[in-house]
Amino acid sequence: MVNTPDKQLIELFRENGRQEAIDELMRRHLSRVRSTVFQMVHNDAEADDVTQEVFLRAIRGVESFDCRAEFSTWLYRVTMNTTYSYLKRRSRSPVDLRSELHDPVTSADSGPDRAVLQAELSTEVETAVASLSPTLRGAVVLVCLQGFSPAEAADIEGCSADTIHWRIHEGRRKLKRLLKEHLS
Amino acid sequence: MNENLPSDPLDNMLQHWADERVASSEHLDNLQDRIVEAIGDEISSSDRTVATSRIQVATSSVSQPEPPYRRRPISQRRVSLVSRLVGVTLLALVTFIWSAQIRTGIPDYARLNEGQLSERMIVLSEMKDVFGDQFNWLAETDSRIEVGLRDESSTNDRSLTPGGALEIAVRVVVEERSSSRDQWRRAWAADVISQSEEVVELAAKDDDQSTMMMWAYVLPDGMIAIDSELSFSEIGKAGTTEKAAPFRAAFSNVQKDRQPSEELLTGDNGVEYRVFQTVAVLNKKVG
Repeated sequence: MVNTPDKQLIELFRENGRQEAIDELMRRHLSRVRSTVFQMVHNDAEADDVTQEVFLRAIRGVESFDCRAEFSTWLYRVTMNTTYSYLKRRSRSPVDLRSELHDPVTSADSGPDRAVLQAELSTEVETAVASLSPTLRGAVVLVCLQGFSPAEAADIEGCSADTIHWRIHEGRRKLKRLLKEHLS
Repeated sequence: MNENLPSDPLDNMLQHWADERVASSEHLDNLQDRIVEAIGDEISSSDRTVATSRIQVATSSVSQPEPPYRRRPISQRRVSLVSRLVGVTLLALVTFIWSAQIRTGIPDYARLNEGQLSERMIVLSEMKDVFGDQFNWLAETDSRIEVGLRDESSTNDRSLTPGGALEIAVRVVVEERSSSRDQWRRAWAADVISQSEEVVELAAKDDDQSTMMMWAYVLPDGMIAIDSELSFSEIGKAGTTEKAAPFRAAFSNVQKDRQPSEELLTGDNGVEYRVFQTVAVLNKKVG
């Protein structure tokens, strides 16, 4: 199974209902899907819940997957759609964003001052990313953090590559403004 | 995948944050177990549903044996009482749903009706007469009218856009109330005319700090992707004499043409706010 391509694993699951095919797909994609979701929602428990929802939706919709398309593009489309739906639901219930943010993790080998500074910086980066609108954040996460090309991100988001370029430009401009004291 | 990202300080900072927040392999193993279990539950429950429906189909085709007891005849009076109760319950349910719709309904002033859109097309045409290709956007808020012009150097690029740019009218309304028992009150509104994919950035109020940013893009299927950000140094607190509070909202949506949408419902310090947005394509192509 380890060397079987994604599409073949999908066919194995569709035709024979083989659970190990799903286990293998999850082993390949779980880490990246979960980190994408976390970078959008900024909360561990919520990232786990949304990631679970992504895989459940993918299983439910696997019959609609067109094997001519790339499985990873399809899976990340499900990921982003599920995350946007979640963020929309969350925006309807008032939350204090700062209380939602992750406790900073510090590196054991760095000194206490450096660790405190690094923790503060991480919290500020997280706050700045969280302040972007979901679509700007989505473009920054997909291209700048997950390494998708703007064309791939456009395919995932269902928009033009120009739109993704604009969103990245605008997102980075805002992040630079918010983090300017650390960038100088 | 994009392997050639420019390595600038912002990218390094973002990457460092992302690396720091990566879930441990133990966390991922536990999550995978949890998801596998959830998938197993879902698959077995769908199997049960299929099995149950198969059993129902099978039993419905077999003649039912006579029950070992005789059913007691139900009196006409009891039937009438039950149907009245069902009727009252349904009426109560319908009334509740109707009143809930009224409570959460979109106010008329958040909509863009045909008359208002015709007026905007006239204004747009006049603006183009005055400013030509330099006209970029027009915004009207409670206290000011602003016109955005583009540099003459960039007007040539715009004129090369195939088919010309689509023009869009947007209305954003912020409402507030000081408690859930109070009526919603219009706190701020803006009307914008802009071209698709133009960034509109305007002073939202008569101070230096309040801004509105908006960007809209008409998708091939006619839906409109729109990102908006409101940042007010202060907004009035409904029905109170307390000092007005800052207000900030950012929302993104893919909206249907001319269909108002509630974008946000939020609260701060006892005051509730909600934001409506309506977007319409002014020069929609037919066919």
